[in-house]
Amino acid sequence: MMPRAGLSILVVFCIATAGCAEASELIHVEHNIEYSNAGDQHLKLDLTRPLKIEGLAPAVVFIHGGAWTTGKRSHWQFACDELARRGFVAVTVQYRLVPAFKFPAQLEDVQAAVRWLRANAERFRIDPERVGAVGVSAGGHLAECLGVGADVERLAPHPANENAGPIDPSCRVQCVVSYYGPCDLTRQVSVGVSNVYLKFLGGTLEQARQKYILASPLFWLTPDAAPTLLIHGTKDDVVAIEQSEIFRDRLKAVGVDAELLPIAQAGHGFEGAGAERAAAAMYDWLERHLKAERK
Amino acid sequence: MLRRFRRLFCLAAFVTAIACAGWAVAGEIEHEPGIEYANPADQHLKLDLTRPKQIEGRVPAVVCIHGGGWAGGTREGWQWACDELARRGFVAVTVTYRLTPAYHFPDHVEDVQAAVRWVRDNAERLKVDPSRIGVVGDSAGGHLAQCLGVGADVDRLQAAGKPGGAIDPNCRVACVVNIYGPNDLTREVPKNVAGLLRNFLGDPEKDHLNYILASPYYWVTPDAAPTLIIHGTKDDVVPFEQAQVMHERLKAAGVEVELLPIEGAKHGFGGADAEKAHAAMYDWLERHLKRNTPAS
Repeated sequence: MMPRAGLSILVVFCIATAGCAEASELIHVEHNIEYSNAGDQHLKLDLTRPLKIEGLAPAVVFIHGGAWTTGKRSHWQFACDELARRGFVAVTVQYRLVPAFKFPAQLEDVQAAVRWLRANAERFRIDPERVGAVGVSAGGHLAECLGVGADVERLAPHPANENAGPIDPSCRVQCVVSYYGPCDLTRQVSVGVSNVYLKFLGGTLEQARQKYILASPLFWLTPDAAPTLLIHGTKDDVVAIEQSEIFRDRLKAVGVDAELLPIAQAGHGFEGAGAERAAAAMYDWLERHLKAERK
Repeated sequence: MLRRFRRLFCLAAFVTAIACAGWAVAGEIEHEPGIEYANPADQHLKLDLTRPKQIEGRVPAVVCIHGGGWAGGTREGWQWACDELARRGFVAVTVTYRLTPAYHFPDHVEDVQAAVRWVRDNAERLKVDPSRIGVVGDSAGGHLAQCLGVGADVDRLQAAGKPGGAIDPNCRVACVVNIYGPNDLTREVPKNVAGLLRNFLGDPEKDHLNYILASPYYWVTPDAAPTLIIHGTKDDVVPFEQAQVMHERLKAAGVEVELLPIEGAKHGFGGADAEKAHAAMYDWLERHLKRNTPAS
């Protein structure tokens, strides 16, 4: 059994490592904050934060999966709770879905969420230069898009974008975690996925190749991309692990910090020990890349 | 090299009809040499400007960048093309930039970016359409032209690993002609070139990130400018492979790109090869910078 002194040392240790959160166990959740009203859709997010923040806290945007067609932001509430305990401000966001809304509406929305965080940085004591994005499946794809700076303003059909403005720095993120998201939509894997892409992008690969390219984070990747952790099941039969291997290799080739954590035997979705391992790696990545105070 | 065939184009010049958004009297050109366009490190960088004598409205512009291993060469090396471009109704400049060993990456890139900005900032006086600025270069100049085309902005180069930098829209270009310039500096190159790269970028192991950041290949996005690559298949200085990988990468990103291989040619074109290369270059610039041609 644990001696009493040991327990109090543990509590002190927790508080010390949390850094910006004074009482690491005390968190506060604010539900249903409207962050954007694109397409008159009153898009909402749930925000979880430590009750007390000293200085500025890093922030993380969580993006649910569901083939850009379905899914709920509540999926990530467990991670928002945990991160708030660790001293982060965390939001999990709703975004417009297929078939009513096609690409790039989904990307526009998660970009708007990052901008919203920065716009409200003072109110929530967020450090606007330490913002991360985490997503799963279709949400992983959107998180990767944020990490490579695939800006919607620049997604205008090429080459008519010669007068495009600069990348808006306010929707860039400083680190990414993607759970089994696709990075190259021009690589078709199965009939099921092809049908999802068809609805997302409004045409087949043959009909709308340029859109498939523009919607692929792989093709937006430069040396300026955010450090990225990819977590992928080795038996994923929806989005092949090859997608994360390609993305990791390309990130490494351009000198960006990247890791792929393969979850042995896991398919498209983790459970049990695999899910725990993935979550632990995610928290660790976010702490490593967002926790350090800037100089 | 490239200048051998300038006379051929002089002949063509008088029959060239200038039909773009702006209008210029065919053939009549004038020079404004020695204009200081930037003064980094007190180097008083200059360009030579050539333009049609009469311009109505706005015309496109081309920035020409000489080669010489980032260590040598002079802007006069491109005057022949500036003359021809001005006859065809373009405002053309050929620019000096800082060289190794006194200056290192990204100084060279900064300077050619500054040259594009200078043209844009002076667009009104020069009667240039700031949305129609192209860039051409050979060898090291081809590399720098290609850097401009992929938007490898110094702000972002310096911010490497620190996301949040923004491309400066003022040094973007609308099209590129890259004549046997290297694109992926991390790939194996002949020994003499490795020495040039060392002076330009530092130690290949210790300063490996510089080799990546200085490679236009790694900055390609779907947003890169339409690019024509002209490269000799037997180039023994910059391997032909450099053109092939860039061509593939741009194509994969959905960017309009063409590779014109010059069969059997080495690093530097002569005779019919030069003629073919120059014709393709002028054609690319006309197609992408002149408004009367339908967008491809």
